[in-house]
Amino acid sequence: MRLVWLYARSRGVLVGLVLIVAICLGFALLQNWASVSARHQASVLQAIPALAASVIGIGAWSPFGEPERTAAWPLARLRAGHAVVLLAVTIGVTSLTLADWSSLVPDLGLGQVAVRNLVGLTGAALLLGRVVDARLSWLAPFTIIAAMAARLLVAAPERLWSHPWWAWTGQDQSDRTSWLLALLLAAAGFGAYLRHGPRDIPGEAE
Amino acid sequence: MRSLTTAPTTSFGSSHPGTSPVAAITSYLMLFWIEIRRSQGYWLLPLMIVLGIYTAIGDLVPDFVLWPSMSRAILESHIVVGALTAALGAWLIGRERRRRLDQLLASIPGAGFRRDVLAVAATAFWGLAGFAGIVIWFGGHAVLRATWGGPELDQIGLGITAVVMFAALGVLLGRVVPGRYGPLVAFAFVIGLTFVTQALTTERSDGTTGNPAKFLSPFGLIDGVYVGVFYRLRESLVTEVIVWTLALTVLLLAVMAMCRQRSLVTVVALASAVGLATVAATPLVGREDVWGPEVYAPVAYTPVCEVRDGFEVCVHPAYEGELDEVATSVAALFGPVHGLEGVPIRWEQSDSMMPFDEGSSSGGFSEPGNEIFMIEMVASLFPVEDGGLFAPRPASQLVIMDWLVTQSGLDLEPDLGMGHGFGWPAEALTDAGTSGGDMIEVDPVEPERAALVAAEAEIDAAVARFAALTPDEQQAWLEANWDALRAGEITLDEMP
Repeated sequence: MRLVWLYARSRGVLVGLVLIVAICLGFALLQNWASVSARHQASVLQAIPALAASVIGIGAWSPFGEPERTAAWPLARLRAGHAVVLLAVTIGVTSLTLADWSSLVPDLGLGQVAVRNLVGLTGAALLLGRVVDARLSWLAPFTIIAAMAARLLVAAPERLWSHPWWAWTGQDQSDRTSWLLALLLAAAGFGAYLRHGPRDIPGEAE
Repeated sequence: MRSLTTAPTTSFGSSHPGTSPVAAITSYLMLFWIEIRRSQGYWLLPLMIVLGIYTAIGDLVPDFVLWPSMSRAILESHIVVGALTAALGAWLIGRERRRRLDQLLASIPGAGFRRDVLAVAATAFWGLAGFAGIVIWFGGHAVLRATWGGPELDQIGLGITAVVMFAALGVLLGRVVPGRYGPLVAFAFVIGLTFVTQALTTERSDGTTGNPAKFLSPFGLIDGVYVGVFYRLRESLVTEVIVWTLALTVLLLAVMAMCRQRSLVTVVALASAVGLATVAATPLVGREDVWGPEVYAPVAYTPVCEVRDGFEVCVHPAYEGELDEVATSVAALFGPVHGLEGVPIRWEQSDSMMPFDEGSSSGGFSEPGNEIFMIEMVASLFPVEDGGLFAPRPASQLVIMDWLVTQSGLDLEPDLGMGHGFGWPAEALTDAGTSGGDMIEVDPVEPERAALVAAEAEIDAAVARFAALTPDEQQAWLEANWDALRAGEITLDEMP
């Protein structure tokens, strides 16, 4: 248990959890302040998962680098536990936040879309963390939702939930391609993270 | 990727005896260039531009591009650009700690604050590059398509000072909240700060509520501010907010200097910066955010007019391209009731967003090109006392309004609600407060839903019966019953 606690501390898990709750709380407050248009709803389903995925991706950074791999306990289990716990908490808090929105968009599976986006964007963040730098992994989900925003800029109002494949985070819950892309990103990101961990940047601190 | 992390330098701005000022400046500029090249700003540039445009545009680019709305969009984009700039600043300033050089560099006298300034400058450079992309995008739309107004350079200037201020804020936050989450915290802090400054409300002595801090954020000049062609602000606060953001930037730099070194000089600098910020904030704090003729002045213009089938239709010159369509709509809609009392023969575009507009005897509409203007025109035939555009009205009036639209052949969205979007029949409502007003109530509460569905069928049948009459019969009935119809004294059973 002490190992788990130390692992969590080294990854800033508590700060990450606070940030995830704060993100959802912020959007819940935003709903009460702002007039909620269809385009706002589309934006929220991009922004919450992207910010939460960024927190999870940044949290993967290890301050120990290669020496940590000499540990007797398999790091993959700790990494898996870390990612799954944060993901589960995010899904729970996001569902609570979006519960208030469901009456506004009755035809859209808000929960399913949010979970798909969260899983896919988290995979993208972890993948960038493996390839480049976990501390910069937030650039991956931000870039994906920027592509989606670019699409929303030109999307007609009646087509806010129907886009080309590359704007997969904006598809409704029935689009299979978007689920496939999200799952592929998740498989690649989680697989690389569990197997290898984030990219080591020798000599650098948090 | 190691090169992504800027290597701190300790020798810039060196003031060795004998070093010329030109050499010192050249050295500083070279370091500035190194900071720009070695930072991660180029990764953020496309994000700034795309997300900034998306946030500012709110909806699709309108059919009629006006310089005032484009200038507002440019200024509005500073929120996302500023937040991403702050995130970049928080990342950039963490370089010394990431490379474990912070303690070593702390032993070098005097250079810490100058490195911070360099980080602010490099961060601001990339933020301003993103902002420039947005200016080009919106400005390009305006240059190519704008039908009214000109560029409002002071708003662009405010966007520039705001981005620089957020760069300094991000660098400071990166120092205060070091660590992996610093950039994300800086991003969220800037977004949250913007909304919090707009959400603060206090109760005034007269019992009304207001926001004393609204104009301390550049967003205060956007939120709830009229953008259009008919009015202009009598007194713009843009200059005051520019001065405020500059003062805030100086204050943030002074705090940074204080964090680096506590000396008499930094204490005096901080005190001076606080004084400067206080002076700059004074004209903005507690300012009344009112909406009325004392704040907005009408803009003089000569309307463009056309006479069609006995109706004179006038629009603002910015909307001249829609004049033909508007004239066609007016003639088609009101031809059957031309000459009847209360039916305007002159229609002039005005702005319904301004409640202090006294109006005139002519008919009015606000937004040609949007079907709402046709709803406004038809609804104005039967004004409801103390009611809005979609206030509940007698079913007989809805029948005639619906028939006028149907016979005109105009394409008016039929799914907006009852009677082609003219609101609900007053007879079917048990609680008029639940429906109508300025907005269409699309989901009335039970048990009114069943009554409304039944009423809709009756209205549709009455419209069909009226449409089946010959034009002469229709004309005769309207002339005989027009006054009673406008007074709301005709029931559905009394319709033909």
